[in-house]
Amino acid sequence: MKKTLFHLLLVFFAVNSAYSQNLRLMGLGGMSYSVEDRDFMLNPYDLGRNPAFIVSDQKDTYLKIIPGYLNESGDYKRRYDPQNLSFGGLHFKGLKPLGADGTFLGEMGYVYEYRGQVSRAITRQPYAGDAFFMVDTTVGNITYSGPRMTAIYSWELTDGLSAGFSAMYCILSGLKSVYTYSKTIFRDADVSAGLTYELTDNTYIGLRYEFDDKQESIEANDVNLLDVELFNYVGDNYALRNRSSTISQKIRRKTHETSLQFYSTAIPDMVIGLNAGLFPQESKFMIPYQAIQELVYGYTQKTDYYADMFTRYSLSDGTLAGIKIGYFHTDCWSKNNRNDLLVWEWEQSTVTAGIGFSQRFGSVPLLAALEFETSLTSIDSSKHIDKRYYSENGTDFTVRGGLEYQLMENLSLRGGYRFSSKEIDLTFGLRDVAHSQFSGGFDYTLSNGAVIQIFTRYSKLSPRDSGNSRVFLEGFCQLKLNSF
Amino acid sequence: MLKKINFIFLIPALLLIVAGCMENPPSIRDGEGKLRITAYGDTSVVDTVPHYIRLRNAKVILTSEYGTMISYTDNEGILSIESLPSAIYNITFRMVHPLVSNRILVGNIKNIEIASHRVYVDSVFASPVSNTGLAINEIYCGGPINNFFYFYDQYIELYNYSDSLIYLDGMQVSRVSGNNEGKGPGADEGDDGDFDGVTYIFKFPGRPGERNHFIRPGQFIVIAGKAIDHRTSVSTSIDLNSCDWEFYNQYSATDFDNPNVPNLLNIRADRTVDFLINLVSDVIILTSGVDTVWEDGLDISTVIDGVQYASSATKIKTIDSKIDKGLALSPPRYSGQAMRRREPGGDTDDATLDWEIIPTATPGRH
Repeated sequence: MKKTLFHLLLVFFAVNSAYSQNLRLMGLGGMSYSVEDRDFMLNPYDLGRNPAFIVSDQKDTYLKIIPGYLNESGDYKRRYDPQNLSFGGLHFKGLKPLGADGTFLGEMGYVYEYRGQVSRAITRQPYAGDAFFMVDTTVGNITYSGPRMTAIYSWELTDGLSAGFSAMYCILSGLKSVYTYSKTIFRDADVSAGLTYELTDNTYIGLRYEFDDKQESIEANDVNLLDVELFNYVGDNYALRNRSSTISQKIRRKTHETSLQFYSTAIPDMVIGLNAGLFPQESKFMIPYQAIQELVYGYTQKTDYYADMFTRYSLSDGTLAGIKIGYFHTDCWSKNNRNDLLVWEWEQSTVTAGIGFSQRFGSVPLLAALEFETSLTSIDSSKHIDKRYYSENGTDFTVRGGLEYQLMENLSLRGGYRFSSKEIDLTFGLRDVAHSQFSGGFDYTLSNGAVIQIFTRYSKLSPRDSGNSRVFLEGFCQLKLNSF
Repeated sequence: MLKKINFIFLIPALLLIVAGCMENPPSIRDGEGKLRITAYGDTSVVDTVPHYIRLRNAKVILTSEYGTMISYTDNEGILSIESLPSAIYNITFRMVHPLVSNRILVGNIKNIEIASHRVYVDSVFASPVSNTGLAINEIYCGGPINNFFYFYDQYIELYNYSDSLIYLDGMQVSRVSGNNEGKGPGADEGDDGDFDGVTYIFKFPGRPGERNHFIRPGQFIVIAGKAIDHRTSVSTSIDLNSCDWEFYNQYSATDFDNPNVPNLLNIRADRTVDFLINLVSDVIILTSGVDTVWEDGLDISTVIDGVQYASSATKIKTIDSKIDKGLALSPPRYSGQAMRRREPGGDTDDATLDWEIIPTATPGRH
């Protein structure tokens, strides 16, 4: 349910993608494979986050300081979504090549997240494909804040064989400031290891394994020592009621991702990148049982299978063509763990194909780019406990266009537009949903060792036959220091 | 070359490890529990031979860990449901007696397991509820919505569901929260035919058998802890200034007495505090007053009605089963909610099925 999850965690990923990708392509309307960019070379690190390839990919020392902000609001939302949501964060990312000893990349950030007018939900991600919802009875605001740290190290084991590993740790504390005063400790620990091997000249194969462990501990405790009441929904209609002066609950999610990358620049003027993987995830929903024990009342297993292939070809001097072919499949099921009964099962498949061109003009310092993508999605959902069955096919298309103009030697301006049309919005079940994005930004070289980059984006998601909409506004600034 | 081969073998090995972590989904689905229960009711009034009819369009209350569900039997008196989540259910069938309008026919089935792969088929035989005609109908004890612990607007409501006057003279209302070292509050400690653990005992004026204070058929009476307008203290509270009766502890130096409201007086001289009951968990018992020697427990045979309430359905029931077989679920503290019988006076001696939580207190009405 790639697209669904994309919407579910849109903001979260948007912020993280802004931190982890580059602001230039995002400013160009979100262009990707048809524009040549230093930070999107289709290699195992750029496509598959394989830490082993950093030693080959990243040769220059830098430090990036990235403050960012994002806001979304609107009434196009689901039952447990916030009415408005804001992110603010400051992120530092530094890379240091250590010569023969490898390459080190470190990231450190602090995130502040505000969810306004959250209806009943007390969990950070109420919609993650599970059949279980933890809710109270009020509408309130929830804030989350905390640090996030990542370290990646990569080195060359022998000639042509590189290894790398990464570790990430994030801890957020949250509070719903009404009635249950639910306090959340959200912890995310992630480790990954990778290998890349140069099969022939300029052709690499990579392998990556990642283990991620998330835990969300929620404690509802009224500050006035009154009773609090929580409902643990199994499906949409049936809930286990829990009432006490203090209630502690937990959600644990574990993922194991294995992926394979292929990268080749062996054919002249052509770059080929492939990333394919298997991504199983299990989630456990736990409630207190007999005072000191925990009872797993809900269990969900979701498995993603994906493969994306990109090709970029230089048609002539300044003209690039790019092609993308992708496949994504998810199988997910949830069970009532106490009696081992199937509650919900759903699957989704998406096939995506895209083509794009970019032209760098010789006469004027201008880059123009255009990409077109279409995808076919089928979804089949059976929520047995609620007797809700849904099966649908839909076709989506996306057009992206961007222009970049070098106004002065040290100043480049860029802007872009992206339009997506979804025949079926899998998140809300509505038809004919349009998503428009306007983006822009610029690079300004302060000196030889410092570049400042600004990016901003406005987007609107709205179904055609409904007056509802959801509006997103985000802005990031990046100061890149090439020596520190 | 060897390195290359080793590397390529690593890929399926890792995939196999990851795939080995994955579980298969269960083959049986939740939400497919089926039941088919035929409901009969005994409509005999004077005969000793039961006369059963089908309970057509009778109200059915299903309770489980997922809460309460209301349904109805069809024109054949059959309850047929095909998509229940698997759980343990208590089911009660209720219908107004077709010949005697102030009586109800009640049939219960308790602790039945509805599972997805089975069809539960059964019959239930409802009988007219026969008892004293007087019931504790509503209890409001959790306090109004407030955050400074105000809960003094408690009251207990009685209801006469018989078709004749009932005299209250000498009747006693007891709060039973003691006997915690034994079987618990309201239990028959020592199996000597009385319930134990009385902490407060307040009495209507007069003696049993006297005919001065009555409750009419279909009348509610409200007995307040403090008969004042509590809205002057907490705006979300209720007005009990004009209630029918008031608990007044004559041994307390501080208890307020509304002169316009008659009193139930304390008969335990060692208790010098106001009549208050627990906000979420307690036992309340109404007795005829024939037995006043509370020290060794009050005779169960003198019980008119009794109810134990608790904040959780999993709490251990301690009240003797001859008084009540169930446990009423109480509302949260300081929520302004109350608990009352589903139907006025609908007393099957099983509080689990008889009582429900209501969003606001309804003193003197249903």
